[in-house]
Amino acid sequence: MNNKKTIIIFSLFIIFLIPLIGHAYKQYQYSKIYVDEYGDLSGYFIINVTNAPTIINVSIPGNVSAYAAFSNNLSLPATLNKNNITVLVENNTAVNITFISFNAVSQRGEAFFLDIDLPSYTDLILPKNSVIIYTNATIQSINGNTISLSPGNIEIEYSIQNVTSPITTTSITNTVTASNSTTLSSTPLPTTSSHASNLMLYVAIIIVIIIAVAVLLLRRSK
Amino acid sequence: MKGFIKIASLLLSLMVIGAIVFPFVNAQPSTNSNNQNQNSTLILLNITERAINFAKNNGINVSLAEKYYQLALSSYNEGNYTQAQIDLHLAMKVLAKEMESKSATPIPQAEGIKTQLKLIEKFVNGSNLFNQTYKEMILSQINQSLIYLNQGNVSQAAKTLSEIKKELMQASVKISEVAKQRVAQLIKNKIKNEINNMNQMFKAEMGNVTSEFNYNINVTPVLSLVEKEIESNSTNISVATYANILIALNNLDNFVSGQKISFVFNLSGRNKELWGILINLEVINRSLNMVSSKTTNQNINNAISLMEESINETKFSIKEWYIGNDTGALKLINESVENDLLAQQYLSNTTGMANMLIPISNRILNIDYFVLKLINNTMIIGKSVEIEGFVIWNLSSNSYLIVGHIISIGNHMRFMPVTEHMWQLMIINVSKSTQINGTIYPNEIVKINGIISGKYNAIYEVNATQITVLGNSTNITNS
Repeated sequence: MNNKKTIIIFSLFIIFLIPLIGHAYKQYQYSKIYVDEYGDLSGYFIINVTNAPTIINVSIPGNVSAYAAFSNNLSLPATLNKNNITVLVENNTAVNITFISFNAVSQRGEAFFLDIDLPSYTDLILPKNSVIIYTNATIQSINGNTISLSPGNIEIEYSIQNVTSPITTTSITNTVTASNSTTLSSTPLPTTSSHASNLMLYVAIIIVIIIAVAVLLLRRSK
Repeated sequence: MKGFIKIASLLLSLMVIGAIVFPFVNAQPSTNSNNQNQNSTLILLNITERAINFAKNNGINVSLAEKYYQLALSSYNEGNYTQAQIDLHLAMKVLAKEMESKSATPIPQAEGIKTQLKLIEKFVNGSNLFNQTYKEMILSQINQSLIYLNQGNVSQAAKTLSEIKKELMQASVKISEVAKQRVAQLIKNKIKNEINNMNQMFKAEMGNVTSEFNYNINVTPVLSLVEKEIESNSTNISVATYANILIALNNLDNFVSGQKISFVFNLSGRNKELWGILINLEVINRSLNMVSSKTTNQNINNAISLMEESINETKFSIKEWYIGNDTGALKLINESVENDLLAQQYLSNTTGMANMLIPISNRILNIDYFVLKLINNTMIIGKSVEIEGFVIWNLSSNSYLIVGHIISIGNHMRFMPVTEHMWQLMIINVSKSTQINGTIYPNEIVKINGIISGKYNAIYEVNATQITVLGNSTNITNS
């Protein structure tokens, strides 16, 4: 009898937790845009629509050669007008707009320039060995060549580093003496923990809590 | 039992902790603006430092950029992140300008083509939207193009790549068209649902009113026109129009489910009058029946049959008026009055029993005049009106279906349907002389000046003299 009660309570606990985990996952759905070394873009935007039925407009730089919008495995009506993709969304849902656009990045001397409107939180994956020269964006985190960005218009200028001659990091400054005492002089790109790894961490914590509770309950029931 | 309470308490505590912690876990990274500002400045510092080192290695003079960087660093250490970011942007701008002025290394065309082919291959392989046959067709073209590249035939590879891009664009359009057909079907289902709901509402509102004009008391024919228009244009209708039709139908659904749609102007006013008149007519009819069985006089019999006909016409007139067929009602009541007057002529030339019938005839005539006055006072057809409403869809090139209500009626102060706060489906007819300000799309709020010309099935028709588009009934979001 006691065991039954324990199992019921444990099950209820898990039932309550599942939506929370789902919610956490949903919040961390980032769009992903890949930039190759020749300035082509590919990837997808994920946009959470809460005011359906409505239309959403996404502007893609370059020559858009393929596009599709879908949600829950259903394709949505979408049209391309110049560089704007307009999508009809019938119900409140997360809409995935996937595309390929060629020559979206303009080359200026040794620099490559990308100007793009991000409709949602986006991971921008720059080409391998790229070095950011300029950006007007508020960057949330950087992990290797992946930059996590907030929605809005961003400009980013980068150059491709010759792999055979890596950047020598001559120390141009001393150290940052701010409250967090982060050292900059060794110049690794800041590997601020990305949202994806945060998600994994939180899910792992939840799983550990569930297992711990299960073990505790089983011991007590004996 | 104690153990059970302990376990339950433990679990509940964990859930409460979870509930407290989760908002922070889920929060987007903008929750703590100061920390975020510091973090983003730190990232910019690192980016700029790396960029300076990179530029230096490429033989670029970085002294000005370094100066800005040092200023930024000082501001950062003082906690002035905004200033630090301004200086970092200046440093980066200087670097970018220098990098832009360096002559570019030309990109080999073959490499560019190869990269694009690989990108398309990845896109097609990773997409669930293409069927296997299509995927195989594109992949085979990609392979062919790669073979051309390996053979050094770059121009042929470029040509094949261009064809693949065209194929992809056509496929994108096709995917959208299939989706449009699905949405068109969804809209048709919604319309069918609305038709059923409104026909039921109509029956509930009108009861089992019969009509000698065989009146079609349902909305099916009108909404079927909308359905037909959508069916024949499903792939030509724009994405924005589809969205607006869906919004308009949702709005219509809200009116229907909230029972805010009526099929007759000033229905509650009509309802008040209807039963009193019908009861009066029934009482008169009974008196007449009692008298009519006792005579063989031809004049009296003629008068009686005219009076009976008049009573029937009055009944039908009041019923037609009740269901909104004002013109039909007016025609019937005028005929009834004529019969009353003719009956009185027969009675005035006769003696005896006619004296008993004259008061009955007078009562019928009085009721008829009352009904005539009532219809004239409340008659909406033929009146100049100002209407506000939202467009559902165009029924044809010169007519629109809207949901609207009258906001004013010419100078007819006694007729005030607006007080009912009820909305009507209306057909708005436009002609060459109609002045239209704006473009009429589904879901647009419109103000219409015109004359109510009659009814098409259950729905009022308005001949518009002026239409002003006021805007969308809900905002279209541009993300």
